[in-house]
Amino acid sequence: MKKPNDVEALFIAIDEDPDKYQEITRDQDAVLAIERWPLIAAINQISPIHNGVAVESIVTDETGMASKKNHGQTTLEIASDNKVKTIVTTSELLVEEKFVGVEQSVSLNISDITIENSLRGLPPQSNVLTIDTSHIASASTEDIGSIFKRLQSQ
Amino acid sequence: MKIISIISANGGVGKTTIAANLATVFKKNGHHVLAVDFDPKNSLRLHFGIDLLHTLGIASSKQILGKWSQAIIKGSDDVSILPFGNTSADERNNFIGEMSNNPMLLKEQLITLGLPNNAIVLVDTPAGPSPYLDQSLSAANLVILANHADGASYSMLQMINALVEQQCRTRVDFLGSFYVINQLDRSRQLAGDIADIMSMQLGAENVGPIHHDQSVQEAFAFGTDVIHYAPDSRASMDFIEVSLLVSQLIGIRLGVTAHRDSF
Amino acid sequence: MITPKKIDYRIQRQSARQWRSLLAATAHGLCKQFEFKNARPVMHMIGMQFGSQTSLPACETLADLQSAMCSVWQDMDWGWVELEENGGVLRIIHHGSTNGNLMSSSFGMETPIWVTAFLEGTYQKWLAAMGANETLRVQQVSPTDEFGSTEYQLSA
Repeated sequence: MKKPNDVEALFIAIDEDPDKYQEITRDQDAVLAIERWPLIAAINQISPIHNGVAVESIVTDETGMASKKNHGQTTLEIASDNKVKTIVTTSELLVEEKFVGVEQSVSLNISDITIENSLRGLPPQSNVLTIDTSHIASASTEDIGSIFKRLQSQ
Repeated sequence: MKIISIISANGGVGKTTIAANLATVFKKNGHHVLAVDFDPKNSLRLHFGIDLLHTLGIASSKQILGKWSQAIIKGSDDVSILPFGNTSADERNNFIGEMSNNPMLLKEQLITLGLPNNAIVLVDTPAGPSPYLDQSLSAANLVILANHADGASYSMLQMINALVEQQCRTRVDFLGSFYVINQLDRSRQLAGDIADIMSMQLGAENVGPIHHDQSVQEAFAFGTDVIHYAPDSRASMDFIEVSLLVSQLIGIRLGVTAHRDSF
Repeated sequence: MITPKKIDYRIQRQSARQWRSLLAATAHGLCKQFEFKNARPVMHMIGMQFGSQTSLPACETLADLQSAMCSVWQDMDWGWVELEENGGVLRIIHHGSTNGNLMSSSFGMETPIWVTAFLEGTYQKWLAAMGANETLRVQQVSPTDEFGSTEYQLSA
């Protein structure tokens, strides 16, 4: 969306970087975006990513069933800046030993998630073409008919 | 030397293309660069005009082990390449066995090359969990995670992040992760959404897009990189931008020709 | 900040190269068939045909109309348009057409004609469909500048 000049002026007036406005609106758009796509929303329900670190890990047992477990195993403190602690239990992840393929052994068990209900409400065409209008000046909201009348009378 | 591992959860997201083009940008800016093909597909060399009949590499013969320096070859733009080599099933199994015997094989072999302190080593790593990924992560000073802006990549983020956390975060020589969203086409809602979500959740300074641009594939079909094939293209600008962000993370300065302000 | 140079990059490479090549070849072929001065009406007519094929949804306001037109151009990666009533005319400023890119290549003298005449026809058709009667005509009023921006005007 086109950033209005008055918002830019406001940010400058309060000694804030006007580009922060773009960051705020982008983050708000991102939150809305999560809700647009049921799988993405479901992933965020189970393991929201915060500052690049998953809040909780998904682990699989030998049968490949995923569950959200707190095994109390190795707790890795993320070094620098107080990011969320991750309880990583990758020792329990099944890893392909031979390089035959690189199939994932970790999977989400989505049957517990109400994704089917979400899918029923899925609009027919979500992946629409978006128009990037930030560089386009807004046009008048006057009725076209009156504009044509004026032009014709010139 | 700084070792940058280029990894992904899913295949086909363009790791090799990213590795090759970043190698070229860093080389253009005066750095000593070694591009390592750690993928049995052995396709990195094709981005540098190396003879198709050149099949030698780090895994193509058991004798090479301990002598990786012998497998280094100069590609276009004077970038040094370490191919994986065209390998038989036996050779690959042997190589996997060697990796199993020595979890730090990759790092140790790179050290034996005696590269200068300011050298940048890019390691093109096969997709998904594997012994190759383990080796690459164990050696990495920086990890570049390649993705597409789609549900498939997003759904694997947590898993691949967990592997990086486990193998890299506790090391003092680990400088961080950077996410490259490859082939981004923002005219579609889904792609734009995933890119925005990743920027928000991972930090915009850690995410760099390479926009969908036909020049990239054309350049490859020409046997070269996009920076030379189409220097004014969107993809070229994006690769330069990514190299700037990555260089900030690994604490190196790039030359004037790639200065951010000129954009 | 989006600068004209950045926009030019986008236009240069994200348009389908086959599409542009086909159009350029068509234009060359037509210009060879017709004399220089006759190529323009032909391209105008083709533009009107294009306008019929890509009929816009019903629009109430100028802003709606601008959005609808931009939608078509965005889909084809053919730039965008700004509509503004000023001094008794409707200014139609088309930005970032492929013409700007083609001008910088070596297609020759006739190249500036085809896109501008084509767009003139398309805008004529679209505006007529919105209710502009026959007394109002779309005419190009300025040559395409180096950023691929061309101004047309709808006037009596």
